[in-house]
Amino acid sequence: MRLKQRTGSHFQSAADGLQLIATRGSGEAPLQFPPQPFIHADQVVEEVPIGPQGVLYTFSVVHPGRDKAPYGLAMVDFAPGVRAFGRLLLKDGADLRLGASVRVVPFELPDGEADYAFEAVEEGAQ
Amino acid sequence: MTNPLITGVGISDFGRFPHLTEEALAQAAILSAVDDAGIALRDVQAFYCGNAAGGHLPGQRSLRELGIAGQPVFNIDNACSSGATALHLALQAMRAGAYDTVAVFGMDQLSTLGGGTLPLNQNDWNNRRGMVMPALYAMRATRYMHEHGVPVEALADVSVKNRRHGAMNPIATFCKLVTREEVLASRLIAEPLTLLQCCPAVVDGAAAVVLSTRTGRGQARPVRLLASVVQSGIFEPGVVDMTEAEITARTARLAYEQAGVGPEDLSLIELHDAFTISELLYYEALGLCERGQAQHLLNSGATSLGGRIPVNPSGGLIAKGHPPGATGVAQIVEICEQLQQRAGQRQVKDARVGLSQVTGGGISGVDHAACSIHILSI
Repeated sequence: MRLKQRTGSHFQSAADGLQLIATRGSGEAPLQFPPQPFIHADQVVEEVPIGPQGVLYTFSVVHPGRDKAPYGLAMVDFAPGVRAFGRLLLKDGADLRLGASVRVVPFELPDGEADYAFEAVEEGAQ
Repeated sequence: MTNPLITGVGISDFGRFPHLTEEALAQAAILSAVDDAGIALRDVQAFYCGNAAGGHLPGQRSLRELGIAGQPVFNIDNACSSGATALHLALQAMRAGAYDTVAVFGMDQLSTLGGGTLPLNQNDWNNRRGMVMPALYAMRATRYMHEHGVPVEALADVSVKNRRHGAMNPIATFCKLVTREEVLASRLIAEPLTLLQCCPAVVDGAAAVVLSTRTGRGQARPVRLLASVVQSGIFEPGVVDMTEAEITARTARLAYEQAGVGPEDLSLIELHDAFTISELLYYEALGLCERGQAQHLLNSGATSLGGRIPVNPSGGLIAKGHPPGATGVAQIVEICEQLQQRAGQRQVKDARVGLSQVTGGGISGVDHAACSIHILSI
């Protein structure tokens, strides 16, 4: 079996904020996020940082029930032509229009694993 | 080769039956379908079972107490498309000459799962980050409303229509008539979708059909299968249009081609209205109207009973509920009963050709993992 697991993180810090790591396989493969988790045989996989800012394609606020807090989810488009899904942080007064700028920010998954989320970019902060 | 026909149909009540089992519900549907076909269970040469939430060997668990004589049983899980996929595979086997008579059934019992949204695979990237099926469709709704200037009332009207249909369906035990205002005032599930814009999450049910090349013993006229198509989702990591139901449009094109009919030839449709927005997106994907025009088609009354092309005369998933293994077969049962002019109060006048569409989702990177479309005719 010639199978290798990708071990790097799916996000990284950059000078202007947090970036996500997309990947592109060899040949005609499109850029994808999340990054390709496994590499087969001699496949060459290029890593491409995206962000820290993207454009809000769509979102929803989920209301899971009486005893649980609502949470946001979003689809965010990044310049090289890739879409990422993740949590959307809900801040009072945030601009959540479709087409608005959002940025990648640190977030912690319920199991404690370090992850990413999106939040609206405040006007004048772009 | 003699083309197999649907010679018998059966369906259980759809509702909350935690005191029953999914096996018992399946048995009720199977016995009803076999009786409708005018045959005995021993005449069935193979069984195809669609099930999504019941674990291992649901088909054999259902059939052992019915005294089958060791005939092959095939279990098929394709999420919400399980039952329709089972029908597709049964048809393939019959057309290859493997069997003369088979039974296809599907069932699930969601009332024993503890409520809430359908459980999804938590190894999936999106699901691990909080994705649930209502949220996926809510995001599609948000984008669709943004692009086409569709008000939330248009979504609510789908629920009103389908529950109006479902109130005439005796097996839809969970269905109640609702107003637009009640739909919009029900509690939020995933904005902009409210509770009454989602199919009930805790419903049990089963459905079955008998396929045979030997006809003449059934209680109703046999139904022909003009098309049976199953497709899978294409991995699309780019900036795709989430308001286009790509897999449904692709499957529909293949089904229309196979059947030699177009959307203008259809008398009725049973489609996968798990959420109100789904029905609007599928009007467009099935070619009933142009992109962005679904709300106008709905408002015109064309998709209501009595209209040009009634959609979900059974009440659909919104009115009946959605035990995923059963749904695809239940749609076929409804279309057969409509084509055979035995749909009671909800009968579509002069029904000649019907289409069923059901998807199967819950994984990231694709529009849906599966889509099945069947076109039936009398």
